[in-house]
Amino acid sequence: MADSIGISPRRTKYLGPRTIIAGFAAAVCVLSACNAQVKAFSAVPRHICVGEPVHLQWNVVGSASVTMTPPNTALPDGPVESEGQATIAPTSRTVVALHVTRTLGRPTTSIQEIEVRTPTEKPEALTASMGDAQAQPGCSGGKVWATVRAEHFAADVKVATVTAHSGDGRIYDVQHAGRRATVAPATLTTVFAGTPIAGDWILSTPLIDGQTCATIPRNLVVDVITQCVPEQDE
Amino acid sequence: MTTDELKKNVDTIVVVIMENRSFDHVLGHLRCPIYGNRREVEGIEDVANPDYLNPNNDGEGIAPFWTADGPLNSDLPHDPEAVAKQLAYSQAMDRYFMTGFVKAFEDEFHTSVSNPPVMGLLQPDSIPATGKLAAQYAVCDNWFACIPTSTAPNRLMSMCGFTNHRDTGILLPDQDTVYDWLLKRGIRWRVYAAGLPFFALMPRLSTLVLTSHFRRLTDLPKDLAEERPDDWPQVIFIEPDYNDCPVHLQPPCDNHPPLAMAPGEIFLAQVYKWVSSDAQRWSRTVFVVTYDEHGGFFDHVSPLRVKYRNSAYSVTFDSTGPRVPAIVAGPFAPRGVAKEPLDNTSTLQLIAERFGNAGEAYSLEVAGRMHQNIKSVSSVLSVEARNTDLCDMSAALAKPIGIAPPYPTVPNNLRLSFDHAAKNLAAKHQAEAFAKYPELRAYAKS
Repeated sequence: MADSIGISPRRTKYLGPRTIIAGFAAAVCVLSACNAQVKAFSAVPRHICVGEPVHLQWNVVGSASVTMTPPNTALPDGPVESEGQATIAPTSRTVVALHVTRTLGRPTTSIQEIEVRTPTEKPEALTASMGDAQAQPGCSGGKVWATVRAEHFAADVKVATVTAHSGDGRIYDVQHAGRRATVAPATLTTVFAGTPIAGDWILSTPLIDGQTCATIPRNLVVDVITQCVPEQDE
Repeated sequence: MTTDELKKNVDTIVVVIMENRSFDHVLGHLRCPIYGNRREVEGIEDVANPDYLNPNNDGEGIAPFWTADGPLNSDLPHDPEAVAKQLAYSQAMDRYFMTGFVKAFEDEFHTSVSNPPVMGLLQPDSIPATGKLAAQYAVCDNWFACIPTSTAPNRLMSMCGFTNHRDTGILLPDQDTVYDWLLKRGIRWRVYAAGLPFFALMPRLSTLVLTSHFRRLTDLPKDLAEERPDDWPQVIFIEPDYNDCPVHLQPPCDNHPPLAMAPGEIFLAQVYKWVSSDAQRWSRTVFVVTYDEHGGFFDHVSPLRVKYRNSAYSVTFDSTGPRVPAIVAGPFAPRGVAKEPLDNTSTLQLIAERFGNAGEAYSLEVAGRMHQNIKSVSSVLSVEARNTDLCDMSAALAKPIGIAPPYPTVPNNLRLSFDHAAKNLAAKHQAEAFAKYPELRAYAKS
């Protein structure tokens, strides 16, 4: 019987400590799937004005290293603790890659791309999906509504103008930062100018002729042009 | 094509199932004016369509974007929970919105980027072989993954008509397969696999895999040249070398991310060239190319409301998965677009119509899908098609892969399953396994 479970004395041979450790690690590895794992990795805020601080935080299983494009002296490329944090202040779009390896596992990489606002940026298409429960979508009484939760924008990223999304001909009732306005295609609304883009945007639009709650478009979208306005300049 | 027409005209059904790409990702460009401009295809006419925006976790709408083929940094989310998020079903509105692909990606990979790969749409240059087939034969733009989950359950659906697993676990459950169905009826069948066959993962079939029913893909041209028509298989399954398998008989070519499409395109071009090389046989062949599931890539079409219920194993789904690329080729495949609602059990329907007894459904489960309006591949075929021109695959075969070797695959259940199956073959059937797959010898030693 001993043979069948592989502990026959006849098969016993000396195993060096390194072999034993490797064998044990391999067994654990198989049982746990042994892939390097990123448990958490965030960059907050992720949309900033030039030189604003971004707080990086990570927590991994395995050996972690960071590379940044372009490199950033505040967190040089190379190994980091498996759980850690750092603050950087990018002046241009920066890609932060968190690489994780394990002795017997395979590597994995997570990426946070930090966007630095420029004066000529494209509109931000703030979007609420009607299929996303977190957007608290609804449809009744001849109108449809949902909320965009604009997150990870620095406080200095402010609204300049708001307009309907390109290709979307609907007229929206928009509430944000305690203000309210009607946003129509091909018109730039300045009602929200100077408010931070971060926060909730409550969008509502009437059903158009022939449309029902079963046939509404999938998203509510408004285009927001932002500008960087430091607090002290207001 | 009617059953009588099938029996009279078709001798061989050839099925290729690739891995993990959505219809829009691979063939969506056909509709776009700057690429195919085929307005009859339900593809992506304009990436700026607000309906296609998928919000990220910051509230930004991410539009699909045109991209070139290449290896990805990782696999993409496609377990049942991730797929549910991608489909974005609203109970209140009883509708699938297809707007959760970006959030599913960000949540699973702790990655936030402006161009998340799940929204990438391949340009025509990326698919030289698939593009040729799509131009010459029937593009099925209403063909769906059977169920909204991962590889193993969808491959089980494709090859069994049912699944006892909800997600990809370690190895496959022992259940009846299309191989059993064909064996019981005395139908000649064969698997040509570029790597280890997928059903080596089913413990019950590990000995069958070592029989002459399963051959290496490199045997195909020789068999085509030497076998008499009466010995030639009536049903042929052709499998790529799976990226998740740690033992490779050739470079992996299944298109499963993070692998690029280029090796799979060469595989497909070669398979098509071989299968269509004998004019006599090709004139009586139906050639089906499809994918097991969407692999986490965006598709804009809501799934079909085909319910799947396997109460004994608690496997329950209320819809198909997203659409997958599918092309029906051969002389009976009309050039154009097939709009019939299809999924991978449509091939099992075709096999039953052609090789089953009169009026026989493939199985109760497949009949259940038929009653929910899933059609047979025969609905695409026509004796009037006379589509005898062949695709010239020379450019596809000549195109250098030009892309870095595949990234190492992160251990996942499928990789662990292949590892287990390979070691099992080497340990329990050493002589036969090493004779057939000498590559196993080195792997077993490792």
